[in-house]
Amino acid sequence: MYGYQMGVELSRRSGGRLTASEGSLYPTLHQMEAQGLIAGFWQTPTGGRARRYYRLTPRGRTVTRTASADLRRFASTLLTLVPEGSR
Amino acid sequence: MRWPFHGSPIPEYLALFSECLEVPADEVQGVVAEVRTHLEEATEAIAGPRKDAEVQATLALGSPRDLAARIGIARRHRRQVRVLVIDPPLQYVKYEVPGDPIRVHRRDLAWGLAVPELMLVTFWAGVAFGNDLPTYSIAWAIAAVILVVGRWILPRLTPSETTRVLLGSMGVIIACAAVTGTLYFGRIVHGDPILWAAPLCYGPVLGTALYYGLLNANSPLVIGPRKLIDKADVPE
Repeated sequence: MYGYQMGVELSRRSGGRLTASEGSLYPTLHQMEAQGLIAGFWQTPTGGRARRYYRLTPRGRTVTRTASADLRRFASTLLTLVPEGSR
Repeated sequence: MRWPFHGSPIPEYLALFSECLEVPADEVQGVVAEVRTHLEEATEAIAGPRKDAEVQATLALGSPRDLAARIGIARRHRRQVRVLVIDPPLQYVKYEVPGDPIRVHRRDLAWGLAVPELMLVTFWAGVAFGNDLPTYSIAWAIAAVILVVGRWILPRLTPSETTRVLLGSMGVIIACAAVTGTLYFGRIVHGDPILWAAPLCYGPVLGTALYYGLLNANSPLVIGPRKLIDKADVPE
């Protein structure tokens, strides 16, 4: 995925409930790249314009798995606090 | 470009963005190209006249100064890489630093400003409060100056603006030190004379060093693109 696509996808997948701040997107991507979590590379699709795509590095994949597990645990903990009938 | 940022045409945005961007030179082009691609795609996605769409797209991305500073902070690293480049037409070997390893970031220069300022503030704090000064208050004040100037102001400026701000600051510090010295000799204020004499001497030295360092391409302080650092091993 490339930067602009990430913002569009985030909005689309969340049904418009989440939007990425475009001004924060690139600093975050560059910070993650500097930390070795993602790797950027240029690619030009046939008939398209050159874009900088990002993919997860093995280290990034590990961190993503851990963060996802933490997020799920946090969300399920919060749900236990919500009364059964109001879910 | 005015503050607060209200959007601008893409070429104008990218020009200021690349000027403020403080990353090694071989990365500047890539980062600018990435932002250009983003702006072009965002512009195409916005309905209406192209000019208005460009303004909206740049507005969504935020101020170019701010974006450059934040990307610069994210990519902050110093690379000391040397590669051997053979230049066939000239038939000599030259050492080149690909991508200009940034040896002094603009934000680091805030420390240089803080030293004489610390002395003057200490002198005047002593005049104003005597021994009643809260513990570590001056240290906190200086830390705040370094943080604000180094983290927020200097990284958002272009190199030429940085030079002007640094030299202007030095001028203000020298003037303040001179006024303090005059008041001291007139016996209007009392305190340790080293606290105003040192900034008075340090100011011009630092100002000259900064002026030379920021303008001379071979200086270790140099800011901005710097390709060839050394020509060596030129055959007889």
